[in-house]
Amino acid sequence: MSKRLPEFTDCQELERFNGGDYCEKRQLVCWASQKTGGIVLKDLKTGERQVITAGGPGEGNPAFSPDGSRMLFLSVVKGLGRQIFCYHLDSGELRQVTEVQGAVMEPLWSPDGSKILFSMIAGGASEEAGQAAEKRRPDEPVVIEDFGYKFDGMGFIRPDTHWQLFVVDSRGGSARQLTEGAFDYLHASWSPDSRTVVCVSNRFRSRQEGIGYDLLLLDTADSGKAARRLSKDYWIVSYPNPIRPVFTPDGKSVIAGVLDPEYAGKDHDHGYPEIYFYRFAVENGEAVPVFVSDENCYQCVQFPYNAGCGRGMDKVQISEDGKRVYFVSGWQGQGNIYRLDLAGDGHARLLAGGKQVYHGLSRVQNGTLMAAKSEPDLPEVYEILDAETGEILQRAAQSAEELFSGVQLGSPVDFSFETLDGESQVHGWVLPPQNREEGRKYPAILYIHGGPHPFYTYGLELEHQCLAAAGFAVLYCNPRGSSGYGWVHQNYARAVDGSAYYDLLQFVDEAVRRFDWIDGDRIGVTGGSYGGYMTNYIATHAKRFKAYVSQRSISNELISYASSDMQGQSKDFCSFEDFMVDQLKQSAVSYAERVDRPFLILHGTEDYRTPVEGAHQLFVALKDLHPELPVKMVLFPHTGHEQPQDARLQRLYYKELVEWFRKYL
Amino acid sequence: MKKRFTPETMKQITYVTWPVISKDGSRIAYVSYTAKEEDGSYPSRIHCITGKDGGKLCLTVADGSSAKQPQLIADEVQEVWLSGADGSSAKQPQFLPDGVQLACLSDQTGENQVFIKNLETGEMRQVTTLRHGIERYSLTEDGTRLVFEAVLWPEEIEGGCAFEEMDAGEKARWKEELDYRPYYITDLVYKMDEWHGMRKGEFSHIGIVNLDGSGQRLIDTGGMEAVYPAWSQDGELLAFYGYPYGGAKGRDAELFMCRADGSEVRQITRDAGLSADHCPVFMADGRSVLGMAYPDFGDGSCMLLPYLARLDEPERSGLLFEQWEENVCHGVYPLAAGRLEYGEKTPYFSLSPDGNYLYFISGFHGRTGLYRVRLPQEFAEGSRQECKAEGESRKRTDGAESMEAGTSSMPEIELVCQGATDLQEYALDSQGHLVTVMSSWTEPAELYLDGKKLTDSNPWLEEYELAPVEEHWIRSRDGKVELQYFLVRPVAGNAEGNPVTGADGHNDGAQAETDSHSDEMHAETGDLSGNRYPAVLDIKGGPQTMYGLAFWHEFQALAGAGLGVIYGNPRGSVGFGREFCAGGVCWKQEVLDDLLAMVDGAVGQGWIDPKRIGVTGGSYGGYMTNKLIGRTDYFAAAVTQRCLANTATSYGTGDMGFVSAGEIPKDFRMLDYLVDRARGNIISFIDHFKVPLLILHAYEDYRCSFEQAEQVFVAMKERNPEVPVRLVMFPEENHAMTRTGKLHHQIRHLQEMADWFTKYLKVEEDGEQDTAQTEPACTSQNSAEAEWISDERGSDLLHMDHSESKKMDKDGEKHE
Repeated sequence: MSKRLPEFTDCQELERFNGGDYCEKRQLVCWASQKTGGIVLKDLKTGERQVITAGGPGEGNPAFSPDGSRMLFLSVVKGLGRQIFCYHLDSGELRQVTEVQGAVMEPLWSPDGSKILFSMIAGGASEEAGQAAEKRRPDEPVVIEDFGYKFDGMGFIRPDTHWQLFVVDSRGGSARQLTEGAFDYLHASWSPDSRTVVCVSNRFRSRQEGIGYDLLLLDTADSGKAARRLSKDYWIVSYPNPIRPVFTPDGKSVIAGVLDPEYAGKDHDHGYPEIYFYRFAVENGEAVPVFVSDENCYQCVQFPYNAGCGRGMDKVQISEDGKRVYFVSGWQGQGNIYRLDLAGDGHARLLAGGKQVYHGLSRVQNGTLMAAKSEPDLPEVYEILDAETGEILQRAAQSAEELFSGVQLGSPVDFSFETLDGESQVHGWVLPPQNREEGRKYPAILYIHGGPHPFYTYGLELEHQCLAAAGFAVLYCNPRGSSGYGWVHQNYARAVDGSAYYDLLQFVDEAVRRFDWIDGDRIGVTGGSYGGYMTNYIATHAKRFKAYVSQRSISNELISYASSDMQGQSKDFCSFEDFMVDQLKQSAVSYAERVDRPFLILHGTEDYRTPVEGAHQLFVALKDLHPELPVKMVLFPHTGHEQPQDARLQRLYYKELVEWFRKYL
Repeated sequence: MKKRFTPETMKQITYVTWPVISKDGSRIAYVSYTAKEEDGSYPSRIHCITGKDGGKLCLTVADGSSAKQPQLIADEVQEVWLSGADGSSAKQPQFLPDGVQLACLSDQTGENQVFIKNLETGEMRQVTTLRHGIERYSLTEDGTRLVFEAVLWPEEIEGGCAFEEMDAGEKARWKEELDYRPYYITDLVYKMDEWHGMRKGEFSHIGIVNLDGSGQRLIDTGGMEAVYPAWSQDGELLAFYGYPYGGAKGRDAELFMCRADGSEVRQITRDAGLSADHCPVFMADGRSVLGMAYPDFGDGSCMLLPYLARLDEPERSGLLFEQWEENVCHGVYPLAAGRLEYGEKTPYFSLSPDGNYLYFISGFHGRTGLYRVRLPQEFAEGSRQECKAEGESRKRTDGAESMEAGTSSMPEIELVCQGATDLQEYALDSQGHLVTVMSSWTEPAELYLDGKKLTDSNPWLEEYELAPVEEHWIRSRDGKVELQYFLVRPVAGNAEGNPVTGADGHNDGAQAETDSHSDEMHAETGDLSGNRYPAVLDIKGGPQTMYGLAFWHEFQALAGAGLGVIYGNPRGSVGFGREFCAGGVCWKQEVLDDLLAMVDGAVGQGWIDPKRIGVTGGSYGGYMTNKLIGRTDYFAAAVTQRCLANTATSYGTGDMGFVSAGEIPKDFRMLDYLVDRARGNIISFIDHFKVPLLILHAYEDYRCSFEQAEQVFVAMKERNPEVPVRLVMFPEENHAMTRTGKLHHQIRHLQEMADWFTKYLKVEEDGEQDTAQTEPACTSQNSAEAEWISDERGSDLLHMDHSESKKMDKDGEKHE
């Protein structure tokens, strides 16, 4: 059968699996498909699959009870929001467990299966306050009295709404709120005795310490008991790379990810610190590092830019005997599974990896676990692995099978080169245009990832494939600032001081040198977020590119200072005026007169990360100074700091992107 | 015992507007708006009245009674039609020549369509079927056709569905589809606050239809937006405003003409500075059109003047009068601030039925009225002999006959009617009867016929204790000008919480304050002399606007909360002659001095505690609020509303101010430009913002974008963490929120302001001052020039913004 080329509309065919789980005892796997909707149950012995719900938005997070008799999942109840349901695997009986006002998130079986822990955005004081919040007029004014009043993807956060933890009997009944106050309680995990919960919270931090979180212990049996702060002098990892802490099976300690204490909460150039595992003694909070960074695995999280898998799955698991921790970490464009012996030398060993991305792990059961993976030609698969050897025992599921059996995908070629300043190596890929003819030259698109800390992986990037199918070579790499290549490479300062800019220019040179079918005179630049920032930077500094598409970019640091959900700081300047001038000097919009090639701006109207106000100013500046230059801005409603997910908008989004390059390359 | 006026009191307000009178004077129609609490919207209703016998209106007017519903107070007047019985909204009534039929816009089929109501038979029939309804319309003199303005999407015109109304289901699907459509932006001027931001391809078109509903069609303007269409007297020609330019001139309107069949569309003005907020008016010769323009006087001053565009001799187009007597009134229709009003208004100028005069609304020294000026000879003796003898009851000006268009002689301007202090709208019949909508300090707008009150739309107000307003004048600190300001005394509560006004009722404001409330108030007034009260300086937006002598509920609500209010017209305001607002003075030191001089004057009255003075204002007033707390120590608390604060980020985020409005210098560098805007900026003084600051801002404000509020808030929080600061964001509202926003938003906005001042100016229930607890602030004598931070660096920069301000004035603060 001849295969067709991929098209941008295929992006809608991605199933976007959510919350895969594995029941070893019964040889069952389950997941939610965000595209088709519905909770899918698959019998690994027979290969039979069963969709047990009607499907719909918001359905997800299926999880088997520890004894394998039941499966919970979330589904939307009209008038209430997302609620927990329980499905009895033997009887097929389906029961609604919760009846709370609001959207339930992250349901978690207690180890004895008697209770379910969940989180929900609610009023700090009580459930009633949360309900009152739900009943307000949608156009109710928002009172803002502190930092952190908005968050991309969530809108303006009313000060009395926070992530709170609740517990409910798994057979139903009323839910009990475990936490309170104007704080968030996240990434909770049960103790083995099903009594205590550990969570990550800013309960003891000021708002100024934006990403400052501690470990807290909560007694689920005695709600009168105050939350206990387990970690004190550490910054526990949460946004943007959360790890759910895990109890050791003896219940005596908690393993959690900690921001490198050398950098956490301090001013430094490196940007986001590395994450290391620490063991915290439940008894007294004593903390011991259990991970040692080395050249094979330098930290305990990964930040892949294009991993299409692992949504709603944990990134860390502990072995049944409590001796080992399994986790995913990025290295050289790969996302690998590592195992760390808690009694060992602190150096992690590779369990499974290669030119692909593992990005989600289920519980370890009987020496096996399920992992979610992106491959170069498949966005997401679930695999059952031997937890001892890393051997792949079985492929449990694959998303969008029909699509990927029918489309012809290109194969990116990767290479590395030493940076001009000799400080590091840059790793990049070139995806050739589809159906390339010998002797013909092709336009190319330099596609820059966001962050800057995430990294491009070997995993499938369908958008790149569609650009290649449209006749472009796609050039993408991990310049300085990208994680996954060690601490030196990840230095944030290098991402904005011109080093990454020269890395990108050098990468383009290398690509043109290696592949003579790339037309060096017809190269365009695009990227989102930091990639958009860099697109703007290049457009105001370089002369070699022919067209630009700046996606959700930062163009004025001074606008971001106040209007981003990650607000800036002026404290280093005793004069606010000097601060403003400094910010302007660092902003691409200040050099708008230098732009001399067709420039397209794509931005979401609800982008609170890189505020859309910046797009407005950049557009006006370009249009104001260059009335004759093709300059266009397309703003997408219902879209935050991301490409639109809605099918109608996504189609138009990619159309703008590819048409701009078609026209001007 | 009377009640206090609070923000919640707003719920009861009925707004009277849009007066029209039939040609024969037998019927009057007007529009009222009363908010609907459920959704905060303001449905409109048309009231049509006649004399008791159904015939001519009786001019004997008796005292009003106080019923709950808006009602007529003239004894021999009856309401013959009140629209809205079915829950629909109707507005823009216009009588047909027979005086029996009334055209109007009604949304009874979903969108605003033109309907004809027969007042004798009661029949109502639909004329237009525009897909998204109609913005406005004009009738031909013979009442057989109309021209309309309607918003449409080009693809609807191409698709042939422009005249197909949508049913509810269709409309819901269309709205959903539209909601998920991106904004495609390629023009420099792509967003306007009035549009709540950006459009998705739609714009205003004009079209014509016969009044029997036949011949509905659009006029092809070549894809150009066209607004405010009007007929020539013979119904042969149409004039309208169009937006022919791209780039920075994208919202510069010009006059266009075409034949009634839509052919021969021609632009007849160029860079005339026209203000496209009215239907142009054909002169009697049928070959020239009168509009209103803001001429570029070269000194930055602002005055709206009649502009005559000649179809056949465009080189002779220009101001109708080269000179203008500024000591009579400030051009035409100086924009009034601080006035209770809602909804669309009838035109603020017209030709008299006899064709000899130009009637117009204007103002001077805070008072607005109806004025007239005799037209130049070539237009005065026209084709309209039949009307000539009428309207002779008014004094004519000798010598006016000698004038010609464009001559340099000074036209004589007469004040026709002023009422108490504030005239908002008018209508004339062919016999010279004059219908007006007028208000005063203590009475919201009501309908009057030849000076006699016809309506009592807000009878509930009698139950409320209203604060009287006093007018004062003080010499400016530099001695150059006299400054007009007003004081509102707090309505202080007695021990039972019932209001006792602190006013002594004295009134410098000459003819103001003669209404029936005054006596009652005196009866309840307690003598509170000796006490000192907190007060608020309330700065108007614009800046090229005029605080008038009209009812303003915000002042009443502040007074009801126990606060005095100081407000006035500093330099930069209109209504005091051009020189008063020339030279970009509104961005300079003089305005700060002027405002502080008013505060000093107010404190000198003896009842204001100088340590407990707050400051507030919206838009330009918010800008000045920021400036005052950044550069003086006069104030103890501040509320900055829809403010401008950081001009380095307002560029491109607000809807105006472009580099290419002038010629771009060859070596232009955006960095220099933005750094210039950053230096000497309001927010540069953030470290001096040391008083409790409340920031009120709407999220869809595209004039002063919401990011301006965030600049102030985040910088305050970061740099002055010890100072109380609160930002309240109002979703789904724009820059005009306090005028056109939803009721619950308007109430909340005012409540936030009153609460903030109450809290931080320490209003005491008994009016006792408690200096021990007040915030440390300097006394008024303490402000000395020595403390000023030099404005010089900023003034150039701010001067660049002057074009912005003018635009703000023209387009934005019209509703302010």
